[in-house]
Amino acid sequence: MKIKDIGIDELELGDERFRISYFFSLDSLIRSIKEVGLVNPPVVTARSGRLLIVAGWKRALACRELSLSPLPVFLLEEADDLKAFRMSFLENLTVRRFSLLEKSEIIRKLVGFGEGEKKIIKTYLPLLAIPPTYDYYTLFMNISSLKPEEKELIHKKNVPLAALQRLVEFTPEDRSPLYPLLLPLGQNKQKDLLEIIQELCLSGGLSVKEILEDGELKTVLLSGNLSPLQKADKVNQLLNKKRFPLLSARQEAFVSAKKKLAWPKDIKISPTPFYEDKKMFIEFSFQSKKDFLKKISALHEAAAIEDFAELFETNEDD
Amino acid sequence: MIEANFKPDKIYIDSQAAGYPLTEKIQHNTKGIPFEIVGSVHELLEDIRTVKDPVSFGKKNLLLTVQKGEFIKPCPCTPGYIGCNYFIINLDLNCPLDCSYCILQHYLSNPFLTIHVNREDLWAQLDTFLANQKRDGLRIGTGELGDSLALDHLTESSKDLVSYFRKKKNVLFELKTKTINVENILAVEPAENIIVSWSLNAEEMAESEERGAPSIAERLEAAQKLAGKGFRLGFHFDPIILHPGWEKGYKTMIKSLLSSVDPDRIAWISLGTLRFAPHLKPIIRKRFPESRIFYEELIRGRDGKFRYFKPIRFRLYKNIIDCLRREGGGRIPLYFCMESREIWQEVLKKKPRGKEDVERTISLPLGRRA
Repeated sequence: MKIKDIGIDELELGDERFRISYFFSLDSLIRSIKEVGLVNPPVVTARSGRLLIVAGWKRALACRELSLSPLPVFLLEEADDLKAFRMSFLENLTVRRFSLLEKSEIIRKLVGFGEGEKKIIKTYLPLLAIPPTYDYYTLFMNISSLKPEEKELIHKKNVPLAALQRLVEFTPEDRSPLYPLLLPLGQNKQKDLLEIIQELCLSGGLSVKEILEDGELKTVLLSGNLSPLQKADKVNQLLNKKRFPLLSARQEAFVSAKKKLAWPKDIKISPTPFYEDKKMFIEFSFQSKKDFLKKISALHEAAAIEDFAELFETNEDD
Repeated sequence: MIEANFKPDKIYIDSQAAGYPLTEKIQHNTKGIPFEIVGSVHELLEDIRTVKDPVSFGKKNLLLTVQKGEFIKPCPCTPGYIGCNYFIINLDLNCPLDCSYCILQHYLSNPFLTIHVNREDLWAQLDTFLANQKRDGLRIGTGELGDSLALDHLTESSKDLVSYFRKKKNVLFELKTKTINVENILAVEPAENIIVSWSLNAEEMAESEERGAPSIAERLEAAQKLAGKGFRLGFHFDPIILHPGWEKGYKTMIKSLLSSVDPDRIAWISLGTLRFAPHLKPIIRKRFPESRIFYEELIRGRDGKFRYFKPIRFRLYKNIIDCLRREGGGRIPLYFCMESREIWQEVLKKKPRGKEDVERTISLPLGRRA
């Protein structure tokens, strides 16, 4: 590759055929170029008399912001788009990690440049740290088909692959009302929420909109008093109740039985996960013999209340 | 339904498997089917991962290879639940039937129908293993990682296995199947310690979730033939699936079973409700989009697998066991597969201390039942 100085306006920024990164901030790069100059020039290649960026979009855009002229570039003399893209991809691979969206874009571009499906799966997916299976190939192709505004949200909120895997299984119409619920939640909850909604949709033959317009859910979503996170959490709870009615009823019965006992606040009592057996656990801390005996005495008092047995009745199966 | 004489699309022969008598027998029994000698099974498996549905592809293609490790392993059961001390012989892996709930869809890294052809090593390993097992009533079988009889017309393994185990009087040997591929067994003499078992389900579930498997009536007809010949039978109500009309569905199946087969010829019936590892869910969703099996209340059990919330399991088991007893199956030994102590206690009123206790319950010889 030859290095060459060009005028910034010689770059054809409208042709994004080699571009894989979209969501980035130029601030730190601009600061760096101002201070030390452009250390690593972008790679460009000529097509129909115009220069297209093969690698270094961020650098090129930062230089444009700075009106840096002349702009030093590496000129790649390669007429084949696939070969040019491959070169830039392999070069990039050695210096940085790709985000999920960038990986999906790389795969889509490879398909567009005519690389075969089998070769992409066997050769490129491992390079991108993606398991080399058809299912993962399809998943990343589906991610690449999301709308730009969806991609931006996903990028901003750093939605994990496990949630994306679910998300792309929804239709675009179904995805749209999901984002406000999804994005305030942590990564694990995102995945769980999507799974529950998807199963409710599939089992009831309903759309996401129809599910969310149902009774209490609608009230929560329209409420002006709740923050986005509070709304998402409340919706999550209500959906869980719909999806797991027996389990939810048992949980509610347990909470209600516990309330009747005026259970000591600093002693935690809990059933086994999902009530798989009848054992219950208590947990408390103490820092002296006196403190310990006080807690034991509080437990004795709770157990003496007539309704104590009700705690166990909530976990009867027949 | 697949035909009883299932034929693969193609046979891949691991170069290390060439020349074994069983390889030659299979080639003889599959004349006309293309085959390819493969130098690297690893590369073959890498290749199959790139196809759209490796599981379906694997179900149509046969791989003959050698078992480099142990043929015999204790059944791993599942953490946190009570096992039954069963031992498994890993002869053939995978199965041409295509059940939506089958754990093999994700359990095995090799999706091919695989036959381990080095049977000479199997007999040697069995000799050593059984010589070290001093107790009576040890149960061992071939149907855990594949159907015991689905490929029997190609391998004729059942004849050899029955002949081998017939002499091991203190061992109960089980062939477990959903097929009606019993011609080879019908050709050999029965023995009290040989049990041929069928997985049974409500007919509606068999039709919708057990793609390619014979109907319940056909399975029972095959069982009846073997009982007529003098074989002992086993049945596995597994996975029991909650579905609209399940009570009627399981009742009909139980009535058919007990009107087809003398309960005294039934060595045991196991029961287990639907359970599967989380990784199986997306596979079921993709391969069986019409299946509704995971829309019920499935929670994460102690082993991390999905299973019905306990009150549902309790109701399913109680109803089915009551039905079995009402319909004349009260003396048949029952056990749960991968269930909790609480379920054993609440439903069967038994308190097994561990897998040895369960084994003792099941291995009761005929005529000594409570």
